[in-house]
Amino acid sequence: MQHADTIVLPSRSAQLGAGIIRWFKRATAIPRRDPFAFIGLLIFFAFVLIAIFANSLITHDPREILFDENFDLARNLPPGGEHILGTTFSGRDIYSQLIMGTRGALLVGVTAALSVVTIGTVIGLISGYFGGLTDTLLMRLADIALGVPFLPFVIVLAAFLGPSEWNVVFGIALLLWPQSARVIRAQVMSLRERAFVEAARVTGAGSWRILFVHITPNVLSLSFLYASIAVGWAILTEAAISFLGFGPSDSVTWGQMLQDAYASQALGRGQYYWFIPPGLCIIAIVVAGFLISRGYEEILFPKLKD
Amino acid sequence: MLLEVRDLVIDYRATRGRVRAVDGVSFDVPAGAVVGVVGESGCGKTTAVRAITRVMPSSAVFASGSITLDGIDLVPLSEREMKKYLWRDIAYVPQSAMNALDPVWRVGRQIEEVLVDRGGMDRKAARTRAEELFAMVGLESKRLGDYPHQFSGGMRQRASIALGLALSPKLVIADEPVTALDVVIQRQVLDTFTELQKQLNLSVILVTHDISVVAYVCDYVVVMYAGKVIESGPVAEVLDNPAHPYTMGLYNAFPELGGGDRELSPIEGSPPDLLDPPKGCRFRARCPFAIEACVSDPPEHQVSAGHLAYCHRALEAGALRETAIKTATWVGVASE
Repeated sequence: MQHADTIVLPSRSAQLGAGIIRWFKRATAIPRRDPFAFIGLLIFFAFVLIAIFANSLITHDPREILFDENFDLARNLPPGGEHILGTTFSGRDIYSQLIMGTRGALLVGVTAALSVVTIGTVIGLISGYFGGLTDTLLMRLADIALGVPFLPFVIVLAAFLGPSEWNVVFGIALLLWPQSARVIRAQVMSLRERAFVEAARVTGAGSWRILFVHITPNVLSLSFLYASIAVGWAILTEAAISFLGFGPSDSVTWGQMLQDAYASQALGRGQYYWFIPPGLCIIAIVVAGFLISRGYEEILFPKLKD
Repeated sequence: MLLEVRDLVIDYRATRGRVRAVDGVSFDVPAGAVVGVVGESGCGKTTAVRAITRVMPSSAVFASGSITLDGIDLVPLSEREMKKYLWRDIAYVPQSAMNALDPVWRVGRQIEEVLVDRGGMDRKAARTRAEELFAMVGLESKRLGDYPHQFSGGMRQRASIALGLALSPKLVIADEPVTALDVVIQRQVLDTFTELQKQLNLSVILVTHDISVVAYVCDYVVVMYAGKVIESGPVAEVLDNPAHPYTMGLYNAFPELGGGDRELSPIEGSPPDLLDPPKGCRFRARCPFAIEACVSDPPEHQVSAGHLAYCHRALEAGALRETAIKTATWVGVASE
C-alpha cells in the first residue's frame, strides 16, 4: 500500500545539479555534432581569454616608443629576445600591440553583432507579426538601408562624427540589420499562423505577450546565427576602416597595425613578423565566427547536411 | 441555458468576394451537456464555434447574430471586456491540439503561465494546480517538466485538455479534439474527457466530422451543411430517426463503434461553392430524394421535442430512411 506522503521529492540542490548537467550537455551538443563548430568556439574563447587578461599578457605598453640601452630608437628589431614579435618602424612592441588589438577587435565585433541582431530581431518580429502598414514601412526602410554602400557610408560617418571605433559599430548597426530582420520576419510570419500562437490568443494573452513570450524564443536561434556572422563582419570592417586611416588614433587595433605596417613599408623591408600576425588574427576570428554559425545552421536546418 | 447562439452570420473576405461561411446558425448548449457540432470540412462548424471566442482569422467578419453566455450578451463587448471571459469562462481546445503547445517552453510552464497570467494565482499555487490538472487527465506530474516534443500525440492531447480545464471554465469548446489520434487512443482520450465532463459537470461544445464520436460522447447534436444547420436535437433521437437526408447519408458513411456489418455508402459530390450558394436547400444537388420544392428554402420541421430538421420532405422521413439504408440509393446522385 502506497501512501502519497511517503513520496520523496528531489531536493532543490539535486534539481540544480541536474539542471547544470543538462545545461552542460546542451552546451557540448555542438562540438559533439560538428567538430568544425567546436574549433570555431575554441578559437573564439581563446581570443576572449586573451582580451580579458591582455594587461598581464603584454610585455610593453603597446603605444610606448621604446629605446635601447644606448638610447637609440629600438626600431625594426626582429622577433626574439625581449621583443617576442620584434618592434615597429617607430619602435613599438608588436606582440603587445597584437594582444591589445584583441580587445578592440572583440569589443567592436561583439557590440556590433549585438546591436545588429537586437535591431534586426525586434524589427523582424514586429514587422512579421503585425504585418500591414507597419510591415510595409519597416521593410521599405530595410530596402533603403540595404541600398546604401557600406564602406563609404562608414567612412562618411567617421568624417562627420570624428574617428572612433563606436562609429564603426554604429555604422554596422545602421546598415546590417535588414538581413537578419528579413529572415526573422519570414520566420515570424510562419510562426504566427501556428496552432500554439492561436491557442495563446484564445487564452486571452495580449499581442506583446504572444510576441515576446511565445514567438521570440522560437526565432532566437536564428538571431544567434546572424550574430555569429555579424561578429566577423564587424571586425573586418573595423580593420578596413583603420587600414584606410579613418580609425581612431588613440587605441590599438589590428587594422591599425596593418595600416602602420603598410605606411612604414614593412613589406619592402621584409618585416613579415609585423603584418602577418594581425592579418592571421583577423582571419582566425572571422573564420571562427563562420564555423560557429555553420554549426548552428546544422542544428537549425539538419536537412542541409545530406 | 448556458449558451445561446442565435442567427449567427460570419463572412470571410476573399479576393472574389464575400464568402458566407456561417449563414444563420442557431443552437443552444444546456449547462452540463455535451453538444456535438458535426459536418464535413468547410461546412462552417469551426468558424461558428470560433466566433464564440472571437479569436478568428483577420479575414473573418462577424456580420450578425447574438451569442449569450449565462445571460450575458458577448457580441457588444469590447476586446478588453471579452478577454475577461476568455479561458476563465470559455476555454478552447484547438483543432490540431497536437501543435497547440509552444515547442520552446516546458509543458508545466505553459499551464502555469495561464494560471498565473489569467487566473491570478501565485507560482506555487499554480504549480500545485498544474499537478492536480495533470493527475485529472491521467498524466504523471513529473511530465510537467517535459517539452511538448517529448510527449506522444495522446499525451499532448491530454495536456491540451488539462490546459483547457485550468481555470474551471463554464464552457469548453473542443475543436476536433481526437481527429489526429488513432482510434485506440481516441477512445482512451474520449473516455477521460467524458469522465471529467461528468465529474466537473462541464458544458462542452465538441466540433467533429466524425459522427461516431458524436454518438459516443454527445448529449445533443447539431448537424451543419454548407454554413447552415440542417438538423439538430438530442443525439439518440437524431441518430436513430434522422429526418434530413444528409444526416442519413452521414450516418451511412461511417462505421459504427459498436461493430455491425452494414455496408458503408459515401455521399457523392462535394458541398456547394459558398461564394455563390444555390437557392433553396443547399444539399439538393447531392440528395437522392430531391424534389422540385427543394428549390425554395426548406421549412423548419419539428420532428419531436427538441428535434428540428430543415427539409421539405421531413414528414416522409420514415420512408426515406428505409431507402437511404440501401447503398444503391446514393450511387450516381451527384451527376453534374
